[in-house]
Amino acid sequence: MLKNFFLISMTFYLFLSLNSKGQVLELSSFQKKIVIDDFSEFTSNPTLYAATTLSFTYAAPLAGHWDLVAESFAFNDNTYSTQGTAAAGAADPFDEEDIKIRAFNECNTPDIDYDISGASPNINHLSSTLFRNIGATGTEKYIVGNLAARGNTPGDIGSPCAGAPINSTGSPSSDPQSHTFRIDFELDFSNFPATVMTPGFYTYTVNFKAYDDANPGTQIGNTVSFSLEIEILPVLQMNISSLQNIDFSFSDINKYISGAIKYGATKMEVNSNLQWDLTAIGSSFTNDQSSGLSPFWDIIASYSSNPGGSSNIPLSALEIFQNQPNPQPGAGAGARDYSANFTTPPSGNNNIEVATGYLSFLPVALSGSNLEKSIAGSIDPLFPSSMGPGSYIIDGGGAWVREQFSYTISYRLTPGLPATFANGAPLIAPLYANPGSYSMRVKFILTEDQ
Amino acid sequence: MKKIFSLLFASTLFFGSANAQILSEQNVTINMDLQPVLQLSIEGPEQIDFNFTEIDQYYAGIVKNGANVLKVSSSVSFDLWAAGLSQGNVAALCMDQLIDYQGGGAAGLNTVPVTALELHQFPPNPLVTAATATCDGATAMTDESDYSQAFAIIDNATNLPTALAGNNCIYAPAPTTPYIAPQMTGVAGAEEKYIAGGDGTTTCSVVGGSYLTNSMNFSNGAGGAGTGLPVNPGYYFVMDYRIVPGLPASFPMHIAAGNANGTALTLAAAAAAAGNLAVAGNYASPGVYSMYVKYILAEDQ
Repeated sequence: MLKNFFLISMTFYLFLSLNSKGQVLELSSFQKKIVIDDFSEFTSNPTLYAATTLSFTYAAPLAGHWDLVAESFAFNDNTYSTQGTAAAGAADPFDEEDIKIRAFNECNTPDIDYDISGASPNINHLSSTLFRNIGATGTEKYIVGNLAARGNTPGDIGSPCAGAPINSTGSPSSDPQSHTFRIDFELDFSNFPATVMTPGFYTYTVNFKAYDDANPGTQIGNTVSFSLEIEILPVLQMNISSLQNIDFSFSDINKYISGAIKYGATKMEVNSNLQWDLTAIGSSFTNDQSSGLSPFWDIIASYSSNPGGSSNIPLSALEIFQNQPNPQPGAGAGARDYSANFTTPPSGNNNIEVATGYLSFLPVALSGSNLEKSIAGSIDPLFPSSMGPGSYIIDGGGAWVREQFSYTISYRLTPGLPATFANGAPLIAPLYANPGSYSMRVKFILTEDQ
Repeated sequence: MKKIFSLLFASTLFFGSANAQILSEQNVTINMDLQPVLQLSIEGPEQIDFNFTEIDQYYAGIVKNGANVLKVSSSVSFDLWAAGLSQGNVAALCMDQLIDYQGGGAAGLNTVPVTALELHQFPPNPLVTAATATCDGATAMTDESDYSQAFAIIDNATNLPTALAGNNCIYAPAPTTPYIAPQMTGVAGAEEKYIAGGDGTTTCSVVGGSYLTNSMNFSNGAGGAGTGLPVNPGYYFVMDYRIVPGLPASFPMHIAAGNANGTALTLAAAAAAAGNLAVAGNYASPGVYSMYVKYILAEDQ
């Protein structure tokens, strides 16, 4: 199979070689990939320098002059998200018109003002110095020459080739300054963050062709194709500064009554190129394994040989406090975030949401949870809301406020006397919490808004 | 050739290495060490002396009112009881004799039972107030199960308490098992005493709480008189002590005839340990005697 394929490929190559004898376009590479996986790359237009080098051999017995064009040949997308430019009906989707190209050579050939418009570089052409798009699929733009039959074209003023003809016979080896072009690409992310640049895998294919200057539109020689692969990854970066374990020790009666608080124990910072939600989920092995039928802390050790109380301490008894309100809490009634002050006795407004699941979350009704509370945005299906793209590192120049990408979390537990954790559900009372060592976990979930 | 291959296979690479990151998760573990807090603080002197130097003190005994105040804070349901104990240098369940004044002669016995000490508590065991039935069987709890009855009057004709009137003798476990909890039998006359709580689980205990957050109801909050009782009894007790030697000094409060619950196991055992002390003609040998009261606050078992 491979052997047959190899023979077919060789035949194709020989066919191309025979037909391009004397006029050969060549590329140093046919394909490059650019991966956008860091938030900083969205704040500027990512650039790929020297993606390929286009060289053109125009040798005897040929005569006359040539033009050179780039054609926007194909654009394919395979998106990872429904957000942003790929969304149905998006006004300005990310496509071939957002991929810009620059063709540079020492003669600054693409900057020659063929239209004698006085504007240089020639605005209808690809530039040697500026990035321009080629346009919609099927569109061609000239790198050298234009539709007019111009004959001999001298090098650009100010370049080493000024006054010397550049579009006649020559080769990359004998005339590298005029017969080679360094091809650069730039992705136009100027719509970000107003519009999410939809994560996905995109391929853009550009054809390069040479035309007979005396007969515009008449191709001479071969066509070479270059494919640029663009992978825009969803960037959901959450930096968390926290102790891995947050320990509460209740050894004094006053702590039982007043509760214990761990102020600012966890700090979270977010970068996202998507609309996002940040939420806190309380869970335990007991809760996960029971599919929410036992929303209780895991029991590590019991201190009573014959406990008379209950070891089913509700997960929702854990209270958390976020340092600033949720900027986008959604429209529902009641507590939509954890910004309410801790009160004595606990108000219930800070009870952590309890859920099961790993990639999607089901609220645990026994805990009184309905996923109404989120730290930022909302995963409440009834009242969805989301945060826009942005970063905690810098302000977005009006597009976002960096403080809204940074949250500090405090924790509190209030056993009460008797130790019934009265703010949690299901209720322990009339029993009390058996003395022992208990454990649970808080999952901080940064997720693409659905 | 290599370039041609690259071109031909370019399309096969389109779907490689797509590491879509739709969710970022960080976990923080919350550990909670819920230690059982059972705090019992006692106000009052560490040592309480009863000096019988006057004859009327033998007759009427000596009362130490409010000698100790017990304050409880507990995170768990609890029971509270008092245990009368000694080192047993005379006999188990009898007070230790520190010095013998050698005045007794053959009839003078040094077997003074620890149950000669009477306690009185205020307020009553909240379970007694509630007449909880489940702690001692089908019988509703009575004040035989605590020390809330007033000290019994000594009859001057008999030099004894009125028959079965006494109900304040301290619970006295064996010195080898000082932490054995009092037993509630549900049988009248055979109950052992708690200050708070009771024998058994479920409702036979005082729920966790603290005297710190308890109101004594000095007033009703509107400027009027309050009840003068704790809102949530069970965390604050005033303890009175009495010892009645009697004349002759046979310490009559401990004998079964004078006690409403004289058939309680430990009371009967202490009476047996006292031997012939209560037999006519015998009396307690003069000397210095000592015992101690162990107040035990325990998670309800």
